[in-house]
Amino acid sequence: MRSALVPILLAPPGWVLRPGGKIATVDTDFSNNRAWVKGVGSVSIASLLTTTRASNETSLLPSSASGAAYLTFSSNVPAIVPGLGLQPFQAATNLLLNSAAPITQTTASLGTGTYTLWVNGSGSATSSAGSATGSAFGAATNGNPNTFTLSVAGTVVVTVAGSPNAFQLQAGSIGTAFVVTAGVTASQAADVITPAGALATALALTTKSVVVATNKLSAGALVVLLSAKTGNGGTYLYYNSSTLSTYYGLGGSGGAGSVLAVGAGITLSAANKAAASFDGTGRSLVSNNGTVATDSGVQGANGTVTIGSDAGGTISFANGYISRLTVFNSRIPDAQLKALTQ
Amino acid sequence: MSQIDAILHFADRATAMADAVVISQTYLDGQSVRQWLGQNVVECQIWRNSLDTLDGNGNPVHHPLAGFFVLISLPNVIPALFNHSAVQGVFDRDLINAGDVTGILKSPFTNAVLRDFRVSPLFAGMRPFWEIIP
Repeated sequence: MRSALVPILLAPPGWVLRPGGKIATVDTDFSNNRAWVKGVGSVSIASLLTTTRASNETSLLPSSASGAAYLTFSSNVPAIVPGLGLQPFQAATNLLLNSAAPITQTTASLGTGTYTLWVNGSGSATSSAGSATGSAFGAATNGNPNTFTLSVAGTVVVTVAGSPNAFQLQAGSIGTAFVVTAGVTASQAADVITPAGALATALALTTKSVVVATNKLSAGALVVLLSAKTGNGGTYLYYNSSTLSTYYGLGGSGGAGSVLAVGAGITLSAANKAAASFDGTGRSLVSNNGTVATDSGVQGANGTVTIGSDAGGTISFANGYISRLTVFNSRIPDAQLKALTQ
Repeated sequence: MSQIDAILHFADRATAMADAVVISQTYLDGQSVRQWLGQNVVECQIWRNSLDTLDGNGNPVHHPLAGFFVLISLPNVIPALFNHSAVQGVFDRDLINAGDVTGILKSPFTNAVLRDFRVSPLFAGMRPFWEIIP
């Protein structure tokens, strides 16, 4: 009886990817909060990740609907949003006070550089020079951030009109997850997300296939989906915001190493899928059911593996959602790999 | 496991980053420039609330204390950090958030001074320690 039950217990549920009957080794469906490990069965996503983040994080983004309710995740808890996925965000400080009850205010003195002002809800927040000198000041409304540049350090006035629910002013050219402030400014620490358990084991394989689904990514120079290139060798899968193509690198010490590129015209803010495969004879790469690129590159040993960021979780954050990450312990044939990105 | 938040004071950023203990919370970027680990560290300013003044529009003007301050937050007590001579305060976040002053694990300052301090930014999820000191 017992031996007869085992195959039934370990049979994957219907949602687990199985191209050509090849069952995923590990399938982490962040957007639906479910995970599967071949030979083990259903497991918690928490058992497959380690998140280091010294702060709370919310799920309210510049792209969120007006008045959207949002979740708050405690420090070191992966920020996983039902229906969307895992949030790997860079560190950010909200330079505005009482950010969940916006009122007109003057910031502390800000350094030179680029800043982004965004709001959620009805109404607007408009930036203007206080003692600072800059350009491109203007109004931010829900879904339409204002990005301005300070050429001379100083204060900035943020004038609120209407009734926004939340507002945020942060350094840089993109808006990230909302940071709740009160009487002083507050920071969200960076999400350093590393695989654990069976997911770490699967990603360490030198013969494997990886499928990554994303949504609502923000444009950075490089938007990294999966990185293991710190040190020598390793998997390195990312979008290049300049060319809007998918790249799959063979990591090398101090650089991306040999790069295989594919596709163009990716809209980072939309849903995308990228897939890559490796074995001892070469590698393949495809995104969004496009043309499969192949070459004879062979993966070296992984360095530090991070999900949604690069270089051990220090740069090139996805700043959006990793919806799903699936790993196979073999090189999936190109036609099937392509189909996985539909 | 509670986050342990430590505020340290140095002469400047370079001194802080070169510190034998604090350097473990830094990394060298692609240009060999030392940077903070963004998952654990944020630079901050500290001022005395009682010393605030007003500008011509009635807005408060803070007067940050001299030197360089950094907030380092880790999920446990690191003895080398806890006992560091640059420490201005070490706080157990869960206890502070619960309003328990025993969450002030270490500080060279009196409660009256701590109550007057303001730190900006804090990490999201930190209750300001000055709010809970009677």
